[in-house]
Amino acid sequence: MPVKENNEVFISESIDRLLINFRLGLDFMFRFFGEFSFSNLIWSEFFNQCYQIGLKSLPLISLTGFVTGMVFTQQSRPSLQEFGATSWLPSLVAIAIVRALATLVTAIIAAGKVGSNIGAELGSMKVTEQIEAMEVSAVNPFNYLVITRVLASTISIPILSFYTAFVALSGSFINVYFNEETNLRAYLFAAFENINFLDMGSALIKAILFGFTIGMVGCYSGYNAEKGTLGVGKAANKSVVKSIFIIFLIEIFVVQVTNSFR
Amino acid sequence: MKNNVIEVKDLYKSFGSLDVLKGVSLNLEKSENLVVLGKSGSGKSVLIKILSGLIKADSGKVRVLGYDLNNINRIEMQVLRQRIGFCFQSSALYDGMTIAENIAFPLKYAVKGMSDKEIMTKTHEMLEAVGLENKKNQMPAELSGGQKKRIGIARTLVTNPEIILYDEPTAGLDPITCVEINELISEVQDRFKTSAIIITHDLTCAKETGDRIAVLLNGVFKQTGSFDEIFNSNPSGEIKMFRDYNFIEKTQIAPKIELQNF
Ligand SMILES: Nc1ncnc2c1ncn2[C@@H]1O[C@H](COP(=O)(O)OP(=O)(O)OP(=O)(O)O)[C@@H](O)[C@H]1O
Ligand SMILES: [Mg+2]
Repeated sequence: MPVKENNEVFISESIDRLLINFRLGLDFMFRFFGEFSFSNLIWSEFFNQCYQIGLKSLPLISLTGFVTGMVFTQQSRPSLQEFGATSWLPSLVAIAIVRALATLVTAIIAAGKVGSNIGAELGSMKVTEQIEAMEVSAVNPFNYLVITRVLASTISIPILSFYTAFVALSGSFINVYFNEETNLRAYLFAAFENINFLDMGSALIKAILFGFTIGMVGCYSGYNAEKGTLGVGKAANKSVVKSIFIIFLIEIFVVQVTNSFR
Repeated sequence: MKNNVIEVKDLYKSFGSLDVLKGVSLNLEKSENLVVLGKSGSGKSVLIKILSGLIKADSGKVRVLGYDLNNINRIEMQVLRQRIGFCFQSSALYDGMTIAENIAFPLKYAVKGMSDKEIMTKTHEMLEAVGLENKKNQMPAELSGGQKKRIGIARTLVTNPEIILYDEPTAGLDPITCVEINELISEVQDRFKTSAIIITHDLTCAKETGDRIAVLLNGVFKQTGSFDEIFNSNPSGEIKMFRDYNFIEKTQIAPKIELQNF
């Protein structure tokens, strides 16, 4: 549904399109807040989506988180060794993981896996008239498809991020354990010494925003897929690219705000 | 006049510079089957999508079951849609659900207050009516085109709609299934006193199911009347071509019409 029907160009064709898309995306988001209500929520589909989005991403997230923690520890060691400060390793790694890596890694993996999935699924439903079929059978497709997915992703991504942090710290601990022979107690103590409430809070807020973004952008791309099978691929692709872009913007913004509180 | 379930007057619809409907007027009486004939791309699908509120008309009066579609709120639309059945040209089955779930979907999420057991019974009844009860646990992708079509019809009929809009119910089906579908359509009309608009290219289907035929040509209804009035009284132009290419006597030799439909 184009905002303007005539072919008048305001700034340049591509900038116009960008602005129109931005506006339509915002409308879509406002529609979510307008139509969301717990009494109309289709719980069965919501739980199904939590399963699809959350549980099914676990293997990939586990692997990535573990490797990230381990490799990050390994690669940070030489620099600290120069100053004879390897005892700072747990603290350094934990700060990096909690403040940035866990949520960012989770979000980017989820944007690739979950976002493209939602985009392709809703995109194919759109181009094969399944969304219209829902509409004519008096089921609100926005409620059934979009609200459940956005909500599931908003809730699942923070939980996944928390889990990623845990797995990454485990990877890091194993590396430290075999190199510095630090025991778990000492490791944990050193790791969490410099982590405060602000770090945890801002990580949580980021994760919620990332989850919301991935669900929203995936649904928006799928819901507005162009006709034809080509549209499905494009929708999947768009949802990944756009959500990663927005995730970085949110990251930058939240870091600035958090640092102003430090 | 009082008994019209659908009243359309001077309906216009264009997409960009493409004028599709240019002043369509039509009435559908209670328990009448109206067949709409017309060339591919003449706007038949667009017309019934307007009638079910999927597409908004540019101008013109559209009344369905007493509701004015130009002035209808969301709740009224929801109520109205429960009383209309829409059978998609592409079947539009939900490919993430099994056949049984597809048929149960409108009962589960649109019709309020049906128990799981009632839904199951009703679903089973519908599957039997279209002769596919052995497929109930399969996914739509595992069915042939004709089987999908029958499931699409079953899903449309499961809510006992008062008006049914069939978009090419027999297109792409073998002649025997065509006859079965035609009989099903007529039977539904007889048993439940439903009204229907049937879009088709297939003159056998038109003859068997239609009480009245309307021919959509260049965006308007060129001619309406009984089958004999239109096709046996010296037709000219495109109507004659329609008849000659679909020649009714030949339909006895079943495979022929199949070939000619493509
Ligand atoms: N959403 C849309 N956007 C732009 N153009 C459209 C849209 N829907 C339909 N059209 C155009 O309207 C015209 C009529 O389409 P419609 O699908 O109603 O044809 P039809 O009579 O159903 O044909 P067929 O018998 O092949 O199904 C076509 O030229 C089509 O390109
Ligand atoms: Mg059509």
